[in-house]
Amino acid sequence: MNRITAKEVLEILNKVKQSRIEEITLEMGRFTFQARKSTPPKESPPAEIYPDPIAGPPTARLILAPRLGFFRQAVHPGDLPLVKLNQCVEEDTPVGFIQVLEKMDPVPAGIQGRIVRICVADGKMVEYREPLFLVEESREKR
Amino acid sequence: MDRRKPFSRVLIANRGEIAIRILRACRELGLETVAVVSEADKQSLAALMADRAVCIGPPPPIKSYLQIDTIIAAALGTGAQAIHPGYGFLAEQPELAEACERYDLVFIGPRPEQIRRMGDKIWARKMARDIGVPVIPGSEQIHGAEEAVKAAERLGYPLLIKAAGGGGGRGIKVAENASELKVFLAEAGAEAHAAFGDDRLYMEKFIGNARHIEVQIMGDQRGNLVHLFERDCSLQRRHQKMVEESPCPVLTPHLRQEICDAALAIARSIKYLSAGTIEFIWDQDRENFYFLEMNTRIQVEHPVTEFTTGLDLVREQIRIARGEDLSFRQDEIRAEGHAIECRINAESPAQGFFPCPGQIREWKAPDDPNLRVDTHCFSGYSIPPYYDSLLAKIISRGRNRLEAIETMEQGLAHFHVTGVDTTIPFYQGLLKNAAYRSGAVHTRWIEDFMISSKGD
Repeated sequence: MNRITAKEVLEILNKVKQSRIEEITLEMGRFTFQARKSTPPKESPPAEIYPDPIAGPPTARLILAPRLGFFRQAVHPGDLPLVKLNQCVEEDTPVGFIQVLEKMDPVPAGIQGRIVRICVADGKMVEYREPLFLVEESREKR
Repeated sequence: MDRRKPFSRVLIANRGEIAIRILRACRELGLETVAVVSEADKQSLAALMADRAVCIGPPPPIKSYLQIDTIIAAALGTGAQAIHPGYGFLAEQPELAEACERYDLVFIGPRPEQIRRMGDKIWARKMARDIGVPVIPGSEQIHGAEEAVKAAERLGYPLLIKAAGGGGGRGIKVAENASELKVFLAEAGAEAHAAFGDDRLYMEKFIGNARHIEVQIMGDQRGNLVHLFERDCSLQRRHQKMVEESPCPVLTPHLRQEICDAALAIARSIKYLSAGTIEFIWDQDRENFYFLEMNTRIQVEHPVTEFTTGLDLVREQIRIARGEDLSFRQDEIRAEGHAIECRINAESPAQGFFPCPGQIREWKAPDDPNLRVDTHCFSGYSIPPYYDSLLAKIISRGRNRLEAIETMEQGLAHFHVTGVDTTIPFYQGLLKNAAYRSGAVHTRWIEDFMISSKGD
């Protein structure tokens, strides 16, 4: 049977702290361990001409479908999509809708950054937690 | 509303062993299958075997398997034209059947109104009584303690307080006297409201020396209705069936006919469609039978009837849903021999049947022409902790009851599961028991057996 000790949990926590991992979920049998980092506010970096050698390359994160349904890029078919490629979004920027029967559930970005890939076509059925957009997370928190 | 349109793709709105059962029936009919799965079931056997699997939500049933809108959307999005609800989950929620009608999907089961009617246990009792089928001495809706105590004077104690929206053993309290009655009544309404959205209660006399006898029925869209004889499901623990068999060892042919006719009468009075089971209590002391309730779904123990009649009930459900007539007439249905089913759960009998999910290391089910194992398990499968603990049903058949018992014993002896505790050893003990072998049991027998076998 899978077992984990408190010491091991602390070790994992420390490793996560030291790494670039933002969020970890560990499931072992009936035991679930979840930890999320809250990033401390950083000073705004100078204009980037060269990649920052300390922070490293940007983090790419996915916006996932919060439920199963049909992905809609706008309220009405034919309207301009809510977001386009390379658009910058805030955490609460709506990036699309999941339509389930008559209901349209808005999808907030949940991430601050720049949309670098649109993963799903308008009108396509998406499953729970299916990737919708790839976002290059901005390192600066306003 | 009759649905006489053929369909080619079925969405299975369930999980576990019944999802595999439905999947197999669909395959045999040349139908495509879509399995809806929660995140915990993405690597399940149903997900692997279905033509397509779609993830509908996180593990908790309330966020996945019970989400009607999501399931309908999944059907529409995958081109499934029919939905089979299995048992449990949404099988007896009229809202799913209604949503299917609204979105032009075929619900493989009865009509929404039939689900709703029979789901109201007070209505069902009254209907049975009105058509002359005996019901357990009891009351209609109880409106308060005063009314309850008065009815109790007539009925005598112990008494069962039941929820109108309950069924399947849920929402039941046993009162031994008037003060318990008053206390339980006060609690029962609120609990029923929370569990079923319906706080109505009624009462029934408690029948001590009882057997649980149920009749399988099947109806098509043309109004043809048949019974497929009875099953004895007296061996229960906390209202959960543990062993089911057919035929009932103590019924005379005359009584069998009476009970099956009563079941048909009930089904006919609502022009029932698809598979259903009508449950009766047989009072062994008074030698009376009483209507208990009707289940408007395919049941866990349907393989027992499939073994004795040689008929495929799930396949028949699908055919009926396509608008086809029943493929057998009443005079063509024969029950032969004896069949027994044991439900194998991931539970520890030594620890009060506490569920113990985990990872199965080795799964080796027995292989015998007179045995059938319905399961979703395999070596290496990780049992998710969010759902019921049923791992497999093992069903045996024989020319008579003793042969069926012996075949079951052989089957259990060759059923190797490591990595998780199972109830296999419990059944092995039970099958050896003299009272069980003689057939002299009642609905509280298992609890007595468990107490007495703790000394072993």
